[in-house]
Amino acid sequence: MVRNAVRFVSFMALFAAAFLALQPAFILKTNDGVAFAQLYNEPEGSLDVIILGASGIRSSVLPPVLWREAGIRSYSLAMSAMNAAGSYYMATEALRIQSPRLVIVSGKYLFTRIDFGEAEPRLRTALDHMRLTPGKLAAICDVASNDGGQRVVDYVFPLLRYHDRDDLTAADFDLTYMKARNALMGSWLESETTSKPQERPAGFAAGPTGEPAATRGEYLTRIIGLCEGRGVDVLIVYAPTCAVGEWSPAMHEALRIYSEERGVGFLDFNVASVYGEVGLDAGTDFFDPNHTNVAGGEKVSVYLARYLSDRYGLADMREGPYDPHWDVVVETFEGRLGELRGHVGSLGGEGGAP
Amino acid sequence: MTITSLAYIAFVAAAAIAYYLLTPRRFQWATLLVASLAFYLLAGGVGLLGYVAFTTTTVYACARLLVRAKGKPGRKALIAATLAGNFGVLAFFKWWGTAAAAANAVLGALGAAPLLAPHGLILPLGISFYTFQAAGYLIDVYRGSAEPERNYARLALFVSFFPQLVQGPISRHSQLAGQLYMARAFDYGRFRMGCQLALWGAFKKLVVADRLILAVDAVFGGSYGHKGAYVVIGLAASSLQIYADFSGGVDIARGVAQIFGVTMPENFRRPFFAVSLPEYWRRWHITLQNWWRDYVYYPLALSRPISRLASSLRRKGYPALGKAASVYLCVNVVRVVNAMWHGASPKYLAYGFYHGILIVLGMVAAPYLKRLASALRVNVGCHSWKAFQMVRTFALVVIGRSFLCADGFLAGLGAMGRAAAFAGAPIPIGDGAAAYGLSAMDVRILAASLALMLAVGVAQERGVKVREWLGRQNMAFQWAVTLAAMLATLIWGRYGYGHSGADFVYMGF
Repeated sequence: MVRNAVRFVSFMALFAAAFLALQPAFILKTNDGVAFAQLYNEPEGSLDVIILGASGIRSSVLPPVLWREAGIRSYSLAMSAMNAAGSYYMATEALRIQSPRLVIVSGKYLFTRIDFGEAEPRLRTALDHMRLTPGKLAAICDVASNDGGQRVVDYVFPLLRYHDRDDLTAADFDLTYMKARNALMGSWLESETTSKPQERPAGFAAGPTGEPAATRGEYLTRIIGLCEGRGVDVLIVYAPTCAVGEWSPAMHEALRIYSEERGVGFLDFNVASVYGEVGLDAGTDFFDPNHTNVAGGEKVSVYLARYLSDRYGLADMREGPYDPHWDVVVETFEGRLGELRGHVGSLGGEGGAP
Repeated sequence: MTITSLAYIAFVAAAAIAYYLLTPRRFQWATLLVASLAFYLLAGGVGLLGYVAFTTTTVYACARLLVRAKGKPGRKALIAATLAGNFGVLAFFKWWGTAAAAANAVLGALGAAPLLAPHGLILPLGISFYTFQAAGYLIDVYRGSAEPERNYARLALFVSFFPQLVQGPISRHSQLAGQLYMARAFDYGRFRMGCQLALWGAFKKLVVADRLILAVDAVFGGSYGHKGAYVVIGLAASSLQIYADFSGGVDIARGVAQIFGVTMPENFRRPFFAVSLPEYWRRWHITLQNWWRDYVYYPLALSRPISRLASSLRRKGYPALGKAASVYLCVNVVRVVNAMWHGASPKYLAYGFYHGILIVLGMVAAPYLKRLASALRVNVGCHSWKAFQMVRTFALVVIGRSFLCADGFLAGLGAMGRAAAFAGAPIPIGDGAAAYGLSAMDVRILAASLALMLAVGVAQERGVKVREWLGRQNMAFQWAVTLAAMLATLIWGRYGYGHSGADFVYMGF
């Protein structure tokens, strides 16, 4: 009996080991997911700013520029099509392992509704690379309670979700990325290879374009609550856009009131004064109506670096001994920028189709 | 809770722990009963428990009364009423919709408003299987071939034993009851074999059946207009799919039962190795076919009207026909009843007659074919002849699926016609797989899985008991095979987020 019990337990242990070992290979390794996974490799207490949002924020707020301009140590967890819930879950984990002074979060979260079913791929991006902690379990339970189609067990064991991937390659089994530090601190410049002239319609920044969207900022509020609980400042940022309907003075006003009521900062790059001060040009600084290209992102980040130093008193960490990884970050960014310039002739000029 | 879910695995594990570790041996059967009722509640809901209770109660009471009324008049009426009540519930659920539609159509033709509405009730989980099992027990008691169960709870366990509840197999009281009530210690070998059988069933269902259904849907779904090889491939896929689905589910049931020390009857004996249609039906859904044989075929063949028919033909100078006619008639009745059990639809009627008529034609032609083969000096004892017979039988089975895949009698005939058309189809390899709703990887997985099923089938046909053979190998090899099977099912199985999670086909019956 004992012999059989030992046999059975041993076999199940072997199965469990094989099953667990296969999990990371099956997880999708998107740039966003990898960026989150590599957050774990940042030394404890090494970040002053965490950036949350979707691709609008990702393309506009560039950590390498914040460092280059003002010595601000930041990490971007802004990800493609990310929603407020995903950002909230990531914030929970980021604040568990880091002690930033400030969290920048997208103002759009006040207006966007979250369909947990449709958002499944993005929630996956937020949670798949997260270590299994009580916070992650709480996040998974939150997801499952909001969408009956998603199961807790699929998040705990991602193999059960991705087992049918038929695009699996040998590269999926290369997990060295999990040990590396992110060379751009979460920035991702790939989709901003070319500029595409946009138009900022006359009257875009003046006068209401309609009623503000229904506010559905439950998770934005939760992010603010989480930060407050840890003594971290929050700055709500509305990234620049040229897309009609994506921004209006009425939405700005709603966000301003919301921010004031909660005592958090608010910076809107779409109001004419800020837009002008940044020096954005719709004809040269956007990749598409909703996203700045690298040139636009650089302008926004230069402005933001100054704003953060002035408003939040973030020290220039270059003034003392600093982590040499930041030199790698700037070097990688500049190199990438050079490649992009070489690729399109001149950023801000006439760009080809993406 | 489906029987391929993680929840079911956890349920079985909990039940096994309670059965072997937490319950005194003499009450082990009670643990099985509690587990069965819990399963029914979890899988079917509280309301559905009432149907099982109805069957258990009426059958229990009837069996007790039948014994008391031994030698007295009224026994036949009593059992007839009980069977009518139970099969009436089954018929109501299966046929009411069709009957109501037909009645309303007649009323409509007469200018009257429709009177009957669909009942709108959910088909109680496993109603066919527990009803047939309970009815078999009752008839055995009536015939005196089974002892009536004195303990109501024990009978309830016999009726509702959870592994078989969803889709059988349909067990006899004499086979099952003793095993259910027996006290037993944990046996690792039995446990291991049960787990392996359940794993094999899950593999067939999740990896094979749920992948083949994509091809079946691609060919027959929507307003299909495919011809020739396309339809043939769709029909073949459908035949393999239903086999992998149903036999997979039954393997899970038998495997789980074995974990509890209960050996359930075999329900499929590699039907695609059959060399004739009658043999096919002796290998397919064996427990139901045996049920028809014992409780429908024989009573019908020995009934007065059939006897009178045979006598009448004999008197008129056709003794051979007299004997054969009763067989032909009963075969067709059984095939049609079997088909109509699936549902009250012309497609099932057509499917039943298709098989019944082919079987009769085979019986009629057998002596002539034997003579022909002899005249042509065909060696009917060699492997190639047997292989030819298998392919022929498989082809007939595949053609018969037309009625079911095309979802109708006329549509079935149309599908047969289209299958016969000379038209090619994309080869389901590489890019061609997409024409069947599959990816190239799906096709590779299917090819490997079907080859494995074939190899296992050939070995079993040669008398190899695969799990026992595996148990005799070195532990490292056993572990490697079992681990590979578990991971293959987990990785290649079609389940989870983004998959429709096809239910077992026979859960709906």
